[in-house]
Amino acid sequence: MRRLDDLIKQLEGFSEGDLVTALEAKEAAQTLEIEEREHEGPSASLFHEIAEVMNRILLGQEGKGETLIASYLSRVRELEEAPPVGEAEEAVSGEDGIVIDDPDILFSFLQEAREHLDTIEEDILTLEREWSEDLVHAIFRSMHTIKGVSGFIGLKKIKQLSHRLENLLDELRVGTITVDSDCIDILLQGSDRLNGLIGSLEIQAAGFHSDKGGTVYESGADIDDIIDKLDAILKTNSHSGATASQTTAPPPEKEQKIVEHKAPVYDPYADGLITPEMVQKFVEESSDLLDTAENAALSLERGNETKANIEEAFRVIHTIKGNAGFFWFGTVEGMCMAIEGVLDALRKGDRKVDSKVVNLLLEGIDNLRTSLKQIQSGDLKPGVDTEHHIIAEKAMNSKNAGDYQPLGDLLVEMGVASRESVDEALELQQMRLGEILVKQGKAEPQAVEKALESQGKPAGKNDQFANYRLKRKDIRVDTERLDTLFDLMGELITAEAMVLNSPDLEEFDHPNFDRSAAYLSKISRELQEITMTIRMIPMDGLFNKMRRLVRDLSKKFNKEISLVVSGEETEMDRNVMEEISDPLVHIIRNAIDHGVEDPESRKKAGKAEDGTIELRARYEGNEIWVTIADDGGGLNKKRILERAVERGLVQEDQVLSDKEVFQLIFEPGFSTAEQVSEISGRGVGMDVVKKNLEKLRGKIDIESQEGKGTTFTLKIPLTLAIIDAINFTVGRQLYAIPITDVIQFHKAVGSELTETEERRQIITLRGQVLPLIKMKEFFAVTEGKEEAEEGIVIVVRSGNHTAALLADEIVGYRQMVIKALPSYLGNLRAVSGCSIMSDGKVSLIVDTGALLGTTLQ
Amino acid sequence: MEKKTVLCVDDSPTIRKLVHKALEPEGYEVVDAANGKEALDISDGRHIDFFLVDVNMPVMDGFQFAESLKKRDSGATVPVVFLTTESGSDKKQRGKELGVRGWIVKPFEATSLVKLVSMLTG
Repeated sequence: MRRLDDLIKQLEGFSEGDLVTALEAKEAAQTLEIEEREHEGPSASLFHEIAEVMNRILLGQEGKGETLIASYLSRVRELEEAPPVGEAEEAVSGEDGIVIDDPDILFSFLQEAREHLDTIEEDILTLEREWSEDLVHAIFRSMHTIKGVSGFIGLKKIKQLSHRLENLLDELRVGTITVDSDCIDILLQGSDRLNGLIGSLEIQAAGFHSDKGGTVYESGADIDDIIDKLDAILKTNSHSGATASQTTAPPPEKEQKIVEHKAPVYDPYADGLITPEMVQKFVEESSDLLDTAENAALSLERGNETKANIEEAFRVIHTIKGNAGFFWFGTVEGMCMAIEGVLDALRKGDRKVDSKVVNLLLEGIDNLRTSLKQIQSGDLKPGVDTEHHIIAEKAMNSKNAGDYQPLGDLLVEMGVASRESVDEALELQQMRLGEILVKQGKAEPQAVEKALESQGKPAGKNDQFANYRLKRKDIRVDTERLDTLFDLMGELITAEAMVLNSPDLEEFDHPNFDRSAAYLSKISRELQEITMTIRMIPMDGLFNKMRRLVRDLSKKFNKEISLVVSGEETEMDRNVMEEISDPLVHIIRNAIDHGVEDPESRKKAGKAEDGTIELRARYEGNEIWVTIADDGGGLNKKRILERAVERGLVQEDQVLSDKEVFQLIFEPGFSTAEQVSEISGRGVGMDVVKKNLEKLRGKIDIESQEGKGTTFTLKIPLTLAIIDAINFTVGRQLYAIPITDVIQFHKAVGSELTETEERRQIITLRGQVLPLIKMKEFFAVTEGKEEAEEGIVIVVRSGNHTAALLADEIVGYRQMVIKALPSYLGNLRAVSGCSIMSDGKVSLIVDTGALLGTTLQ
Repeated sequence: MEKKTVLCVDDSPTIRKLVHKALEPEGYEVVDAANGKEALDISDGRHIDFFLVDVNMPVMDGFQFAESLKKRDSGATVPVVFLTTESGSDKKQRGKELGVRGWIVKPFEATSLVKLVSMLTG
């Protein structure tokens, strides 16, 4: 009796309100009833009865469903001779393929899950630092959604894991488990594993050949270990209360929660539920909606599709009203209500569309725009305490437009309020504002009078259009378009230089042209600056990643290390940021692995047991400096030197400055034996870090004090594509050097020059002795000046090196668009790129760092 | 016969898609809301025949929604059904007090959902 079994199971599973079970039970009872009738069985009436009761339950007419079902259940059981066989628990196995017949749903889930997991990770890390009930709620909700949706699709592993994590979060929520580091660990591990599962599904789903779907497999990733850990935590904690170990945050107070929930006025702002970003979004969205409403109103005037337009205007105003209410902007809400009233009257045909009504609608929309602008500028504030403010705004808005009061007029016209009551209300509002100010001693009664008078005066015509100047904060742009814009910008600079420096113009005196040219240059420079900033994004995303890294690694090495971050608002070119991510990770890994000592050694050295790594970003001239400073043991100079001598990088008796010693760690393959560990030995060495930075035309500096710590400073140029540079010639070849590297130009005289023993020359400038590098020799050019006195000396600095370069002639100062060297030129020594000059000549851009590095060592 | 309108209130776009997929071929019009607040706005001034509501949602959860809807004159008679993974009896009790007609535990069968909606809106 399979069907009887079904019915029993459904009745067993039923509890009050469970509609699906009720529906199934009813169906089972009906089927059985038919069968019984056909076979003239005795139980037909019982099944009929059950079906009836279920029907009433479904329709909400039956109150005591549960008791009734219980009695039915025992009667049905009597009919059943064999006890119902329970189904084996759903086995979780990732090996079974999941047939996806609607890939759209899967894609939607994957995208949604990714979004949730991204925020979850950030939230968990925040939670570790600071307890927040809201945050736990938010994480719980996300996990809950992932669980729910994965269940639908049949993703058993994801469902099982997210379910356990949700349970853990639920315990956190009610306070039976406290947020300790174990708990954070397992949450992070769990979300990592979920990320992995999702990632594997994404790859598989990407391989679907049609929109018909296919089969996916939840990856072989084992989740049993995490499930076991989660179960263990849940088991030990759910009864015995919180574990006290390593508690970083107090459990939420139960009583406190109740008080909060019962608070008479709920303020989402105080709760942090509403953020400034949300308000900004609201303003932007409402502004768009107003455009729609305005268009609809204008169409009405032209007599187009009257009904649809009214409905549309009504809908958008309604949305704004709703949102305004949510954000506690009573003024806006009230204005919307008034406009809705008008539209409603139009909709019902109580009022005909004419130009006056359209005028009123447009006026209302304008007033809303003004309010939105005030919200954006912070002049109009939300919340309970701003009632006075709102009243003042209301008074102002209705008076602003001069000889008529739109809000009041609307209300009167629609019969919502009488003229007297509107006037009275307005007067009352003004009175109250005035009264308040006078009472607070903030204004003289006469002054208030005067202000009220002038409020009623017509506003200037320009103000009407000021409303349209709503600032938007962001738009989405395809990065390809940005890249094209960048390229074009570069072309423009080159083309501009070609025009302005055209040899055809040289012979003529052309003051008018020069003036126009200067103007053009100014504009193109501004345009370039704007273009550069478009791709700039704040570094906080990158820094957040490092938070996670420090946390995970310090656990791994059993070191307590806190990361102090500053300057995360500093903006950097998105592409550059991607490039420095790996170097940053490598340096931080090193700092944790070799830099910061274990707590024991730190204690012995008289330091705090917990180590600190500081990550800072800041602008420094044309560069961004990213500093990673640890308070660890510092670099071991002796060991580095030993190693360098072993490798033949330096002579045994060679005397090197600290800086020079530190630079040795950037030599390819340079690593002390101890430095190779699981974490740091992942292929990227410091030489690769340096190379990566050089690709960006950046530099890396090291400062270190034994026993005190090490500081790495990555110096990255703000922009990649265009530099300000000095052009000079050596023979017939043009070179350029970034202006930031140039200290001074000098015409050398004989007395300043000295020959050293290795047939090198040095030059003494203002008491400073500098090596002289002859460009002709360095670049092996056939022509060019060889005597310092014949050419010009350019003093340059890179990192800690300063030197004098001997060039033939300075050509000038230019903005240059950097291009990669054509491949046929091969790898030129100390040249980072080239630039096309206005006359079509190629200027090679000197990499000062590499130049000084190779010659001075 | 005029199309019945179901308002699906769920913060998960995937669940909303699933509900669309289940109900639209059966001749229902499905309207979406991502939370209770949105649902209230949408249903204000628009006729809805059936509310299918998630419990855990940001901004305004299922309970708060049911509560607000109950206060509204027109809203009290339209069936509200929770679509949820929560099956704790306290939650069900709370839902009942707010006039929720029942709940469907996720994951649901599309056919069951269709039948249910047809019964409660019929």
